[in-house]
Amino acid sequence: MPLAFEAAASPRPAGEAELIRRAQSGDEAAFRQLYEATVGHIFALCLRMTGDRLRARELTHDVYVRAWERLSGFRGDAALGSWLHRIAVNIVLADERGAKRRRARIGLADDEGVEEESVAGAGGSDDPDTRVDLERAIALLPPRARRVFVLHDVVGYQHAEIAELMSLAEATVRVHLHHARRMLMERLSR
Amino acid sequence: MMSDHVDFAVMNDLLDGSLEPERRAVALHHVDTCEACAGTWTALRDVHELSRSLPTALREPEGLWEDIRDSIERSRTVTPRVPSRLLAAAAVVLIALTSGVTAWLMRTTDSPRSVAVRPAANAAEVLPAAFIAAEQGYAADVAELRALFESARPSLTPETVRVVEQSLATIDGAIVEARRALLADPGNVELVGLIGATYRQKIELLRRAAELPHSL
Repeated sequence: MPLAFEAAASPRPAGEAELIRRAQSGDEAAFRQLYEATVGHIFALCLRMTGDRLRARELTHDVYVRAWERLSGFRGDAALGSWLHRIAVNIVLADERGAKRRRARIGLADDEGVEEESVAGAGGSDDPDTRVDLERAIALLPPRARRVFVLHDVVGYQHAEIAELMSLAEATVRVHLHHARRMLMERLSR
Repeated sequence: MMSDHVDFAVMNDLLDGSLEPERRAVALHHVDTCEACAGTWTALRDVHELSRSLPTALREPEGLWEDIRDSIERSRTVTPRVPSRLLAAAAVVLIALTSGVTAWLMRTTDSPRSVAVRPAANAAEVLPAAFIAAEQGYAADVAELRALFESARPSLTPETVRVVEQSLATIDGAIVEARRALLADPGNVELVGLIGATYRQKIELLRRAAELPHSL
C-alpha cells in the first residue's frame, strides 16, 4: 500500500527531474520550487508527529536544509516527495530524544497548531470541525503513541516499518497504536 | 459471556487486516451480532476512516522559506571544496561570523570571551516564562552537543579546536549581551527572536563541530 503522502504526491510533478537537476547544481530558485511543491506535506507530517507548531516549523526547516545538503546524492530512484518524507521521519524521530525536555517549553495540549489551514487539493474530511477535533485529539496523545498513530493510520506505514524506524518491538508498536486509537475514540465521543 | 466478546486488541488486528481468515470470520460475526462489541467496532472504524481522510498537506508557517534560504546560503558559503581540517574549522567559524543576527548582537558586545551562558538569578522573575523554558530547552541541546564535541575533540587538530572554541565564545558573548538587553526590556519580542536564532546557531555550530571527525 503506498503511503498517504506518496499517493498524494504522485504522479511526479511535471518538470521535477529538471528542477532537481538544477537544484543539484546549486540553483536555489529551482530548490524553492521543489520546496513549494512539497512543504505542505512535510509540515503536516512534522506537526502531527510533534503536536507542536513551533517545533514542527523548526523540524521542517531542518528537513529542507538537510535535503539541500544531501541533494547531490539524490539519484531519483524514488520521487523527491518520498525522499523528503523519509528525511522528515528520521529527523522527527531523532528529535524524540530531546522531546521530554522541550515539552516544558511548549505544552502539547496547546491548541495552537491544530487548527491549520489545509492546502488545496490535499484532501481532508468534508467536516472541518470533525477534522479539527481529531487533529486536536492527536496532538494530545502521549508522544510515542502519537508518532506511532500518525505513521500508521495517517501516513500509512506498516507495523514492521514503524518498529524499525523507532527501534521498537513490533508488539510494542501495536500496543502504542491500540492505546492511541482507544484514547482518540474516547476523546471524540465526548 | 465476557469471554466471547472480541477484545480491543483483536478488534484492532481485525481493522488492520492482520487476523488469520478463520479468526477474522469469527470476529466479524461477533461484532455483527453483539451490540456492545458493535458499538466499539463502529467507533474504532470511524476514527480510522477519519484519520485516513485528514488532508495530506497543511499550510506552512509564514517566513519558513526565508529561514531555510538563509540557512542554505550560510551552508553554501561554508562548504569546503578542498577537504581539510583547517578549512572545515574555518567553515565552522564562518557559520558563526557571517550571520547577520550575530553581527547585530555583536555590535553591542565589547569583547566576547568564552563565558558560560547562565540565566541570571532574577531572570525567572523578569523574563517571560516561555522564554525561560525555551532557553532551558536550548541549554539542554547545547549540553548534549557539547558532550559530543568533547568526545570528538581527540580526533581534531588543536587549530580546529581553537577555532571552534573561539566561535563558541563569540556566540556566547553575543547571547550574554543580548540577554542583558532583554532583562532591561523584557517585552522586546525582536530580542527574544534574535536570542533564539543565536542559540540555534550555537547548536548548529556544535553539531557541525561534533561531526567534523566524520566529515574529514
